[in-house]
Amino acid sequence: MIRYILKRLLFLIPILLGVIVIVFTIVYVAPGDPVILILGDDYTPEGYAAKAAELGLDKSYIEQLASYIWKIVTKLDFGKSYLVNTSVSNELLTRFPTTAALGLLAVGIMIIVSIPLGTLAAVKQNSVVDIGLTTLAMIVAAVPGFVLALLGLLVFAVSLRWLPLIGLNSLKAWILPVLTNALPGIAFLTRMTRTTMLEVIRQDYVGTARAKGLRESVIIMKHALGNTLIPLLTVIGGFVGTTLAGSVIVETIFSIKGIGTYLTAGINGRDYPVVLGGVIMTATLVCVVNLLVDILYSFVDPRIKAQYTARGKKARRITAKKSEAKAEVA
Amino acid sequence: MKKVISIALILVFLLSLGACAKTSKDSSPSAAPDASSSKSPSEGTPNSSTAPSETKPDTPDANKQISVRIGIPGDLGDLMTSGLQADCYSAMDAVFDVIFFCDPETREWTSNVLTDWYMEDEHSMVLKMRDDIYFNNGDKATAEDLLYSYLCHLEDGNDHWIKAMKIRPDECKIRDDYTVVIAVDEKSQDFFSRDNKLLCKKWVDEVGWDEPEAWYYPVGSGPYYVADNKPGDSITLKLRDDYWLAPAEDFYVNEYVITHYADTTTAEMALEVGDIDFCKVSKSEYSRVVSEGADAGLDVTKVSTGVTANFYMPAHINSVWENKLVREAVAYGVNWVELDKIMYGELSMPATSVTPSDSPLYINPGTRTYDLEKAKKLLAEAGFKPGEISLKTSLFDTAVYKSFGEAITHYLSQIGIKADISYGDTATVLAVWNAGKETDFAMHVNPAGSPGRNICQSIPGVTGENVSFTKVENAKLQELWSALSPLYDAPVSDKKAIAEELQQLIYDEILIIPFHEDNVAIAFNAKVLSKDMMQRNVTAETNYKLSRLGLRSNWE
Repeated sequence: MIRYILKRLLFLIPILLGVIVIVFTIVYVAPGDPVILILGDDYTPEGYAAKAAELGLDKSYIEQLASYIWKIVTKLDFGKSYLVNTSVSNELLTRFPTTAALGLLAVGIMIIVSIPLGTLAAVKQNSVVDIGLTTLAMIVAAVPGFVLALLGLLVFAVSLRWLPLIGLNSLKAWILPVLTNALPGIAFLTRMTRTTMLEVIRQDYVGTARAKGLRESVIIMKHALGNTLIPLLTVIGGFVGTTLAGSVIVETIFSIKGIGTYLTAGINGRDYPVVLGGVIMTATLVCVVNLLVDILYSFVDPRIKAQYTARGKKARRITAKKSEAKAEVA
Repeated sequence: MKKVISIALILVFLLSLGACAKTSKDSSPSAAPDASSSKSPSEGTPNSSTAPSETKPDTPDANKQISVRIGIPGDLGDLMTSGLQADCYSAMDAVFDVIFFCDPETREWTSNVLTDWYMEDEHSMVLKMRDDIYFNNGDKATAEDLLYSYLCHLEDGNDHWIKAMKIRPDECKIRDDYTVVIAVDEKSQDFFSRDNKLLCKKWVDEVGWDEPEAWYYPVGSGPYYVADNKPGDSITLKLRDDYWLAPAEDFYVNEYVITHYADTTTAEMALEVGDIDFCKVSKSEYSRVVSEGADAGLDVTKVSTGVTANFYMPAHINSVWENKLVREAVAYGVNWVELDKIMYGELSMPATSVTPSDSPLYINPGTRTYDLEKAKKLLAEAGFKPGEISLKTSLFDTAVYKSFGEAITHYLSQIGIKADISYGDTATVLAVWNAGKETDFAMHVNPAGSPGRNICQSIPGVTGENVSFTKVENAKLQELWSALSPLYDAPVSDKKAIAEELQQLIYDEILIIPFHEDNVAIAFNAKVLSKDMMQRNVTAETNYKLSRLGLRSNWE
């Protein structure tokens, strides 16, 4: 198991290297000139040359790429923003806790709400509860995120004045952004839980459990739910990865200083260091989360756990046999 | 049961559609908004009617001072006065004294920092400053600071400003403790319009230009100082007790809180719930605020930014524009009034000259009404068959430019001219514009505005010093523009004759087609502020003159 984890961690290196090269190349060849954007439209050729030299943009592609990778590897330095001249690394680290908190809270609410609702819908299939929940989930999934955010603002902040408009200055201020982040995920996960649960409760072992006379609640909670959660782990892991990378819509509408808004501003302003830093951080987070999900699988799914344990036992038996054979020869 | 639920859902959907339709009918404006506060209407200039200020803020208490909260949609910016796009102009106006500013009443350039300025000879601009200016760190301002306020651009990454102001940095000198001689190639409008701020050289030498964090609490000589700075979120400014120009009692606003909002919609919501006292309003919300704002204690006014949006036909890029008949065909064949409405909606304000109608230099040189048949005849007379002329251009991928692109393509096609427009983001399009390629026509409006209603700022690139397509290959126009530009700070009477000749020439020769008086709508808390205050103290978009707005005289 440890070898597996170490192997996966080592795989991160070529993956991230590939991400850096691809994103760097895309940003490099994309039309638009950050020097002109910084200087404005009344720049002089001398000013242009000086600024380009200052930013290192007068060097060749290979030189720029090599220098960039070297700085990341040796100092974790993503450079300075072209537009505001602040350290990209510091800015990302400053913003990450806010984005992470928003994302993780949203995922937590997603899990707490979706799984019970999805289970309920599956257990009461084709009833009013099931149809109502499924319809509601479809409606929420169909509504774009920015519409949800603005509707929430209009109703709760402007009309009812229950919640603040922007920022995260108080506990109440977290409610709308977190819910807006969570709602699309709740809709999706509820339907996914329902579908998975329906498959699981139709399995033979569940029928056997019923035949043995166990109560329905015990069957669902003890026998079905665990197996339902396994495929949901992948979905939840995906959500964790994307929310940690920052929700642009939520952060923009609620004026939250997070990674999403930072990355968007960087893209719009051709701020290469910000774009590269943001994308690399996102890629790293997604890879790490995927790895954690895979590790979690091995604990949650007994079949995968047994595989590692069985492999380990088999390896030890083969090693022992080889040692015995050598000893006999000697 | 399934059928019942389905029918119920359909009914809810239809009801909500009906509610939306009712809401949009109700939001058509019930009151005509005023365009300017002080000019009487001129002939042929629609939308320049004056409406008396109907709202009055609460009478100020002599012993009281208030806090004013401002919403800035988009980037809040910072206080490093290096002229990068990321500047918070409003906060900087309160913290730093600008060396030159435009008097909102007379539209003439003046200074609180200088006692006098003049061209001693062709290449020497003498600046004499006051001897009682103090920065908020207690240091006294001297000629060294004044000179540095200009030459700092050699260090802050904006050395192209030195060139634009035509300064010869090596030849500038300090004459005495309060007199500076700035050596220039010639006097230029940029020298006044660049909004140079008085900087404390000693402090800037300590903090430098590389670390924005050092500028979160800057040293300035303005009436306010930064009390709290949450970068990207909000800036709180407080009134100084020791402002050198006026005592604290002369100010009614002792605190400004400038807050960032993601966009105008969120800022408008904040205004409605009372979180802020004024903000810019989008054109789509303008009517709603006019008709419903009174219920929430709000009012709204349109403020001219002092420039016009102009259509350019660069003959040096596409020689088809050398033919006056072709230019005339476009002048008659495009419904410019309609184009203005399509682009700007409730903020439309048709222009008849290259300076707004409230400019003291304005004349109405004439009007050409839309006449498609005449336009087609003119094109035929010029020797072109329909479809023979094909034009290409690149425009920004924004709502305003896209509306312009779609409308102009339609009108040009009706005349018989093909237009092919590609859209891109700012960086991409600016690169194309500066390269001078494939920009056979375009629209341009100076985003900096012109508080002094200076014509040369409305058409900044006529001599080729701006984006490529704004250059006009007409010797007489360039001569008049070059004669007017150095008169930037001259009294109106000295500039009027040249300005009128220039406007008439542009109209007669159809060199540039102005079609919109640029303006910005500001919504505000009517209990705290008034239309007059907004008119006098707002220049371009989100460029609020907070140092002036804070004065008690605004409320008396």
